[in-house]
Amino acid sequence: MEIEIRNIHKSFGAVHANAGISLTVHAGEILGVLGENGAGKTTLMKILAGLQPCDAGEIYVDGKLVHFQSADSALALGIGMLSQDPLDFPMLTIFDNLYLGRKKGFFIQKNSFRKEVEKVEDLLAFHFKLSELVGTLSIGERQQLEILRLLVYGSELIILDEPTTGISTQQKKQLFDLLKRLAELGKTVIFVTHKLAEVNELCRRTIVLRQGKLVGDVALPCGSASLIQAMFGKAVDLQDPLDVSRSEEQFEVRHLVIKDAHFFSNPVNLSVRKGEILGLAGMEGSGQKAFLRTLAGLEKPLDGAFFDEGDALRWGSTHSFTKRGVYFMPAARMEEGLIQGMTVQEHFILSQPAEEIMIDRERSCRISETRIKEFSIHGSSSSNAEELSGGNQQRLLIAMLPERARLLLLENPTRGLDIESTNWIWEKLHERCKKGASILFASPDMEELLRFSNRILVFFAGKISEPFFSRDLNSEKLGALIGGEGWR
Amino acid sequence: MAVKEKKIGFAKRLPSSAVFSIASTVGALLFTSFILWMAGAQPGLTFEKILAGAFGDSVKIANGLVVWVPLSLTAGALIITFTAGLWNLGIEGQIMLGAIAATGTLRVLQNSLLSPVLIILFACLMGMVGGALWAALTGILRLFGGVSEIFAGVGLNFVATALSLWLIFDPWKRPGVGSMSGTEPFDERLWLATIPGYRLSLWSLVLVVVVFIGLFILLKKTRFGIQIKAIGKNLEAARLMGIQTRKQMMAAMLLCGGLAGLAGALQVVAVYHRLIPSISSGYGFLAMLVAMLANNNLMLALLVAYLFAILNIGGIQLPIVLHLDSTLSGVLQTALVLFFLIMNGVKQHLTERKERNRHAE
Ligand SMILES: Nc1ncnc2c1ncn2[C@@H]1O[C@H](COP(=O)(O)OP(=O)(O)O)[C@@H](O)[C@H]1O
Ligand SMILES: [Mg+2]
Repeated sequence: MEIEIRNIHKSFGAVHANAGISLTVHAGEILGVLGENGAGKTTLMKILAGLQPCDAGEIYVDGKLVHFQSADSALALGIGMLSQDPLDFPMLTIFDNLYLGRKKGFFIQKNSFRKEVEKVEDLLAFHFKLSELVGTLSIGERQQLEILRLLVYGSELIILDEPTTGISTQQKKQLFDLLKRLAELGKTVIFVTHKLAEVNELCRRTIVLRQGKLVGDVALPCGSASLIQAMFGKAVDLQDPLDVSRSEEQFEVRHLVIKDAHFFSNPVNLSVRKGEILGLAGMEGSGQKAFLRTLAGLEKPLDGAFFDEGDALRWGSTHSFTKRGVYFMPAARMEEGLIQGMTVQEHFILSQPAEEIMIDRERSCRISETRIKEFSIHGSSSSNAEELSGGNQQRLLIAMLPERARLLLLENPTRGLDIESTNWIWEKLHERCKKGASILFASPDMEELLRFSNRILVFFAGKISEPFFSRDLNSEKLGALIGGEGWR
Repeated sequence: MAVKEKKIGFAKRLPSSAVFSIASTVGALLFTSFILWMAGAQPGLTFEKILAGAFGDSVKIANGLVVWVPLSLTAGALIITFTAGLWNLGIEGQIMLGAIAATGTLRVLQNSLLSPVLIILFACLMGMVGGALWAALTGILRLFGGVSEIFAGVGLNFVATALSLWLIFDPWKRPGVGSMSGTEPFDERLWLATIPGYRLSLWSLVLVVVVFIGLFILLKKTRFGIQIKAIGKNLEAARLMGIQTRKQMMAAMLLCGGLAGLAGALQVVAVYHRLIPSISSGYGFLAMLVAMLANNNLMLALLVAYLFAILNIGGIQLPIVLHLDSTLSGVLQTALVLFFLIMNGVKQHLTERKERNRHAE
């Protein structure tokens, strides 16, 4: 089955979610649809699957102009979409769930239907226990069930919208295997994601959407640079954390017991390597802030020691920490990080360690101007910190971290920033890591933690876990840990 | 968006701080006039007499400057601590300790063979040390003992008063009996030279100028100055930036105490030539009003200090010519500060409302 869409437009108020998209999908291919959040992927897919009408444009199936009034009419033509959150009935059995959507035949023909299902299962090489309740299935299994359902109802094209959110690495592998098998069987798959690695792994071709427009149609595999360029409209270094397995350990925490307003933590032992990024996961107020502040020398722990290249740091003197390049960046930008009534330039003067007594205005002005440019802060040297917007205040905070910083303790470093700014900030932080700095950061965003950390510590009600390697975690596992499940 | 914001900012721009200062001055004058009127005096005549008392002849003008010297020195000193966010209410005690240390130094050295110039210089230096040490006590209590500098300072003021009284009535008492009029005056040799016929010493004036140039450089051109500004505005942020907050706060206290001590020492070597019980003459507290009214601006502080000095000197005449108490000047001074604070409150309120509007949009 070949699908062609021509010049699709869709607006939501002022947002042009799809702005004239044309595309041909060939039979038996797995097409990637890549784009940042908000690029218009879901919108396009919903139009294609009959879930929502378009403002203008045409869809041709095998050369024939079609009009969908509903998902059912699309499915009748062989187009099925796996929704981001499958709507099924957890209290029914798998079989009944499949059977519910049946249209043909008025009479109940359970046996022949069961045969159809089993035939498809054979093709896919997996089998459900049809009498089991749907509620007992994992998210991954529900996806398989959903695919099974679409196939049973005659789907030739299967659309999956961000199917890998919330499933484990192993389930992801199973899903990919299944999709490849579908393609082998001659079915067409459209795979929507914002993750580069996934299209590279699964697809031979991907389109890239940005701000409602189709900005790329690329044969895969290909280098990520050009894809990123297309996704973001400019080069962004979306790197994985550095491989630090062979870099030396520069900081060590021994038997550290931190105290928060409500609790004492369990003792923590941890060593941090050069260039390593450690994420602190947990619900807000689970001790991450106290942990970071303790390591910055701002709070005294109940017990324990903190070594910098073997030298124990003296608790109670923040300055002796900053002198060694240990810096804390708070989430409360205006309250704790920046100074109301002082200019951007003054912030740079203050935050840069220097021995001289007199301020060299000219030099500091130059430094300030370069930093403003480098960190794209919208504001001038003479703007007061409070006049900047939140995102620019955040950039200023990052820009203020001195060059010599060796351990960055960051509390929600991308708080309130859009995706592009977030990536941009991480790009800057990566540069620090390459120069040997280590980073500990707290974030409420699991994706961010998993994407940027080498290892992750989970905080739950004052308990601090052993570090997990991020590659051994996924959002499901991490989410469970954050919620207090799966702790030993 | 940016364009829109600019337009709003322009349309709703607040009046500049000069407007607020003028408004508070007018308010204070009206308020004082009202009080005078209530008391049955003629406000116009009273202000005229105050001006006459301050500028009537060259001696009066010189006397105004005699008051201006310690007042501006102390106000300058306080601006350092205010900038660092420290409410150094112990300033009175620091002036007194400066005077005590200077007196002690003079007493020890008065019979030595050193030249008088050296002795006076040394007395001033020791006055600075005395004031600084007294301020250090407050600083230590604040930074290491967790005692608010306000309480520590006020407490130490009492101690300083008691100390000077004890010195005057016991170890340093005049031959015979101790008296409230102070210790035995020093030999004229040890007086700081004054302009013949006046109580005013040119050296003191020069010192004020030098000190204020130094303060300007310190606060505007050095890392220390910008660091204590940061500390005063946001202690936590300053600490996170790696500034040694305790050290710099302590330094601010020491500098302030040193300058206050210098003012006290000058009162001994240039004005009273002995230690008297209330040698600070309340200049410390008055300087606090000056610094507040000047909004921690050095140039303004010099002007406001002069205004307050005039009011002080001009007020002396009131009891004689108008049968009004001379504390009326005090009423005017305090009213000025009160109105300034009120206007500040109004300004803050307006700013906040503007902020809120901006956010609401
Ligand atoms: N139902 C809707 N109402 C209003 N705006 C919408 C709606 N659906 C999507 N949008 C907007 O359209 C744009 C594209 O959204 P979407 O297609 O969901 O992007 P993606 O799936 O690539 O993340 C976004 O700016 C989004 O806010
Ligand atoms: Mg989407």
